[in-house]
Amino acid sequence: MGASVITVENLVKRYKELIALDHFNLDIKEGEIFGLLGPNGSGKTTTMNCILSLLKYDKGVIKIFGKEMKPDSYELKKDIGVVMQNVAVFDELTVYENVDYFCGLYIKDKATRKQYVEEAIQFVDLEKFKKFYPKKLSGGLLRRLNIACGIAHKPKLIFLDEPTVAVDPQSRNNILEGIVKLNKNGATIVYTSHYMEEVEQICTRIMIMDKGKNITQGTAAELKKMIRNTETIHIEILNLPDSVIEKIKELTHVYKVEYAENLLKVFYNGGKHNLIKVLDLLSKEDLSFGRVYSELPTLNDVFLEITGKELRD
Amino acid sequence: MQVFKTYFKVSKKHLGAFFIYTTIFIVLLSVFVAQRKEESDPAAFQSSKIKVSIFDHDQSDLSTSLVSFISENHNIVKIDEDLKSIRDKMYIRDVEYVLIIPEGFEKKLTSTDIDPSYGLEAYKFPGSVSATFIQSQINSFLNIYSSYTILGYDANTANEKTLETLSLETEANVSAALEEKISVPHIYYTIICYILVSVIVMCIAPIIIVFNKEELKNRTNLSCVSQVKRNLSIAAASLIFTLLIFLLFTVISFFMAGNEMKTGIGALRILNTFVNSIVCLSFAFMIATFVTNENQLTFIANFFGLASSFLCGVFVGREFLGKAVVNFSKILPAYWYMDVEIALSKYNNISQFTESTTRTLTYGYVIQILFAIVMFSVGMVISKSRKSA
Repeated sequence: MGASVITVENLVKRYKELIALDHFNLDIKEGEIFGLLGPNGSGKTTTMNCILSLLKYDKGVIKIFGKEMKPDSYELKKDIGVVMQNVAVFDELTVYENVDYFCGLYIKDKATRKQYVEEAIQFVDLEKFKKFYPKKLSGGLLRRLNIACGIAHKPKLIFLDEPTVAVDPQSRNNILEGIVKLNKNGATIVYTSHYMEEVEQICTRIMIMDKGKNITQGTAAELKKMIRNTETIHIEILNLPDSVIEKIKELTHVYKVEYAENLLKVFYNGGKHNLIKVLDLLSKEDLSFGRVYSELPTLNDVFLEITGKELRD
Repeated sequence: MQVFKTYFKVSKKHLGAFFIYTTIFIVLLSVFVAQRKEESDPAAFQSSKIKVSIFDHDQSDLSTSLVSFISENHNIVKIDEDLKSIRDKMYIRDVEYVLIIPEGFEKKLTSTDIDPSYGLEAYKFPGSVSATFIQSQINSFLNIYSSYTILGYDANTANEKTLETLSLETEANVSAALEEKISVPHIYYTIICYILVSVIVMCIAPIIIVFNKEELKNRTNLSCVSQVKRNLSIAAASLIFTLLIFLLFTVISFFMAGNEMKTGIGALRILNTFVNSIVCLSFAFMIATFVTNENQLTFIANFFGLASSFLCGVFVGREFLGKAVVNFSKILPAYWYMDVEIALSKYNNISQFTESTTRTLTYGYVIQILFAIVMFSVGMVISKSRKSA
């Protein structure tokens, strides 16, 4: 693993009585796509804003590339790109002029800037819309423009705060593919979202946050291993006798069985070929059944098991 | 530099207001100048002719001469001499005055028995100004003729002398006060007070509002450009934009007023407008700190511009405003701008200034600058309080 790009120690941020970040710690390594996952209000954006010095915090130390991050750390800011949750572009400027403006805040040389702007526009596939004004762009294209503005100066560290909110599935996939591409080009990414599928899809390491605290962190696989559930089998079945439910409970690795509204849910905490075993039992009992499917645990299950509530609350 | 350059790119999208207000300004100016000229330009005077019918039953030298005198000054209309016809023609305004010269008119006039009407009969509209006017001309003719006959002139000579006397013209001089009212620079630099506040606020405040948008502000603050540098760039660009607007209107004033602007008074007018432009810029900055959209901005700019123009004597002379209104308007910067302009309009040359004039000008300039400082400071306080919130 590479060197630390961001380190946050004991970060505390209060909004009057509300503790938004409670002794929060974070360590992001070079080359990672680090996902900050949590429900709305869990402190993801506050964490990002504190790291970027947009918000004053009450306590703690924040370092980027080994140097303390302050509002006037302009040398550090040169290597940081930010894509805000709310689209931050000028309605009065065209797509090209917008990207040029934000790139120009970092790159003074005209020729270099021109090249970077062209590359950024190409990267987000907005070449056809260069002369368009933002108001003429769809939600997805606008998000792509927002990304182009944030990454045009080729930063080493990129913050993306919920960049796919209110975006259609096709644009969302484009954006996610782009983020992976940026990472492959050498950028370290900090990605915040409350869409667990996205985080699971692109992030190399994930931190789950709630109430301003780090609940847990690791790769998606590591997080899933933290919980008991390894598989859940769903079977549509009519009039299942209690005696059969008891027999299912006795099967190896089964730790919970639920039956309601003609749907049987069997929860496993290990083992292989679980589906065959339960179907075999139902056949022996001469019971017919409808749709059958198996679900592997998601990050939502991890969050649910750790906090007792859903990610999307 | 990036913020500075972008300011002008963004400004292109807000130039509509500039063109609209400049057009309004030129139209208003033309109307005001034309109106004032019409009101007070002696060259604009035109004598009017009245439609008159005359029935001469005397056919004497005097009556013929009177008819000839009236014909030269008015339009003679031929109608039938019966009461019905006279009434009909007067009713439809074909004739405004009907004069009937009775037989023996000349004899009656030259006799010692003086009848004030000389036996003349007339039909006219009651209270008609036209009738009074022609009646007065006839009386003048007859009085002068009588005077000459009393002095012993014969009828022909008296007639000639009368016409000669009536043709005399007197040259009239326009008083200084009247000239003051029609001074184009005065009208120009009065109306510009309204136009400047509208143009500067409607052009500059929307650009500052764009840069003050939370997302854009934060995004710029995340870059290598410091907040101080960003604010200075916006301030410098706003100042340059204001100066361009000020220069443009100054140049137009030279085109419209020509030589009158190339005087010390002209320079003081330009200085007054410059100070007022800075006041308008500060006002634009102040409202841009709390206004969030263009509808609110348009409302405030129009309300403030029109209200202060009416209250401070831009559209309506102060002499027509109540004392309470004039006193109240002192809390507005336009009052002090107009104070300077009114003081300057009374003079043609700086050397004519009295001590009181100099004091009025100094107060006007200084108080306007103070207004600018206060509004800028209020804007800064609002901006800081928003930031800390």
